[in-house]
Amino acid sequence: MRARARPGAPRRLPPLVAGPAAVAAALFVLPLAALAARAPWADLWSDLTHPAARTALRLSLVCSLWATALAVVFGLPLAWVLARVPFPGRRALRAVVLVPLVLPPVVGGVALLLAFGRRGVLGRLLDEWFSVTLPFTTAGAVLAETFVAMPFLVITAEAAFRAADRRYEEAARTLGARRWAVFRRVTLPLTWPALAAGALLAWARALGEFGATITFAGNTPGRTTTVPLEVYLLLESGRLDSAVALSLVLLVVSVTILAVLRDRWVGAR
Amino acid sequence: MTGGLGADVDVRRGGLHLEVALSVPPGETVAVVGPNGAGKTTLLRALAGLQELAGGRVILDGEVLDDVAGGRHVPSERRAVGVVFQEHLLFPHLRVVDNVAFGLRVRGVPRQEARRRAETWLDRLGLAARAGDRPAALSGGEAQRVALARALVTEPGLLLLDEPLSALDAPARAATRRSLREHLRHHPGVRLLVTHDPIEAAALADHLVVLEGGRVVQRGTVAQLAARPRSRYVADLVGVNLFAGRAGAGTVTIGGFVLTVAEQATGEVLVAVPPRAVALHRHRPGGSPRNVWEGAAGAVDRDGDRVRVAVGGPLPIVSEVTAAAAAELALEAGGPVWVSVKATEIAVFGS
Repeated sequence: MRARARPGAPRRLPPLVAGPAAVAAALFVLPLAALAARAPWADLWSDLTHPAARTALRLSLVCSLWATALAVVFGLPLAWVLARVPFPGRRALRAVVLVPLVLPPVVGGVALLLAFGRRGVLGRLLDEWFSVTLPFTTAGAVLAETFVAMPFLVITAEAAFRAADRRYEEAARTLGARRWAVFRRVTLPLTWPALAAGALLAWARALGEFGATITFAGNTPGRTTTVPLEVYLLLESGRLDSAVALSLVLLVVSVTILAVLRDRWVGAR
Repeated sequence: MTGGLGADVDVRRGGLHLEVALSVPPGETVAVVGPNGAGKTTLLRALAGLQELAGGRVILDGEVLDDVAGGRHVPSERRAVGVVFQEHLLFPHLRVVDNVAFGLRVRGVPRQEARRRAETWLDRLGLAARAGDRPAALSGGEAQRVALARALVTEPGLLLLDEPLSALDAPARAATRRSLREHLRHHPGVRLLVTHDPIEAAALADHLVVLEGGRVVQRGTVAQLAARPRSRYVADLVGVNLFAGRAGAGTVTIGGFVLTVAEQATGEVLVAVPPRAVALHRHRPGGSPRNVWEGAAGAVDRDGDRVRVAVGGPLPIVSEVTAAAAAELALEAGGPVWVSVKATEIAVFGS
């Protein structure tokens, strides 16, 4: 396709730019196109309703929703503290919270094992006092997903709490609203769109989680084998069609989330 | 003092050191006036409990709200204080009626009851038709009245207004000033407003407290301040021409002199004319301006590049012109001069 000459725009794209740009675009487009092209459309329904697939889908949904709920319940207060409460070490804590964003998930899984494993710092206490074991259980899968997903919620919510106009909160206080009422009736409604976007991002990340889960929670069908782990199992056992079918589900979910968030994140121009 | 506001506050904020003592009985309106940066808004925030005191006490209707030496501080949410903020700060996610009901809801009043009482207030302020709207749909004047209703619904002992009219455009300001004056008069508690607009202060308040650089430089009624202004700022402030008269259809009659005005009013009124709005001419000005008369130049006061001229005649008035214009007029004491005032520059309010 040739670019139309416009005033101010280069008449011809220099090959040194056009070449690499095309390679980069192809890198994104080709694999997705290959996935869609290879999709076993005829057997899609039977692949997805296969007992193992259904178990993995249900488990993924349950675990990711739990992880999102935990991220909201614990992450929102943390975001609030980071945004509003000055204390020594706040910058350091903020940096630590963001580590899972860039940490290889496998490393996250190892770290979780060292903390919550049966011989881990906290895991031993949980085991001795409450007979609770996290590794290689569904709860462990939820914990692994929460670990990687919560930073998305925290950074989004912190930015929203930081950007919220504090004068509305002051107005609410002069009208007699105590802290919780100010938060529930003013701050929360004003920041709601950003918080929802953060929760959606966290959910998407939890749904796709693989490395930390397989390291910390293992790959036990029905207990910790979520969809990404099931895809891995299917590939290992040479059942490519079923793997592609489940991958398509994850792809559709990702694209849908992208569409929902488009106005906030991508469509800005 | 058992009722009203007694405050003696010491606030340090950035480069500002605010030290103000105030005593206001219930049913009185005080205007705190002063130039930008004088500490007016800081004082208001201190009284509202939003600004920490470095020293002093605040007592409202016998209740100690702040006592730094005694270690007492009642947080904003537990003070019987209502605030009308400069930008109104209506909650954008709540309908008008729920904005007004907010103070009742957070005090545990059931939703239906709170709405009903909010609607009563909206009705009183002529906003019944707007109850279901979002704040974004309101005009500036309407938003101001909603903010007032929201602050009054809990019947605070102290009502604070921060530049209540400055967010409005000129036509809305005149109308809102009149209605605000009415509503303030019906509020039984202490009313304290902060403004940099002398007309607003004169129109709304019984007493003026002039703040400059964090200190009170003068206090009293407009007449008291005008009699002996203690600073250039006060002189400018009270240099506004203020007349008592009787309003008719588009006119105000002041001791036999008829002034054409743009604002609608009836009965006994006060008329304020800023000196800068009084133009002087050597000859009768052309066109058809309504308020034109011939007077006699009196005292000429020069301050920098501005000159204040007292003009005698049928309506004694003070004019402020540039030094260049004064030179061009070649004014001499007792000499004739033509005066013109645009009707739209004249503020009219009930007396």
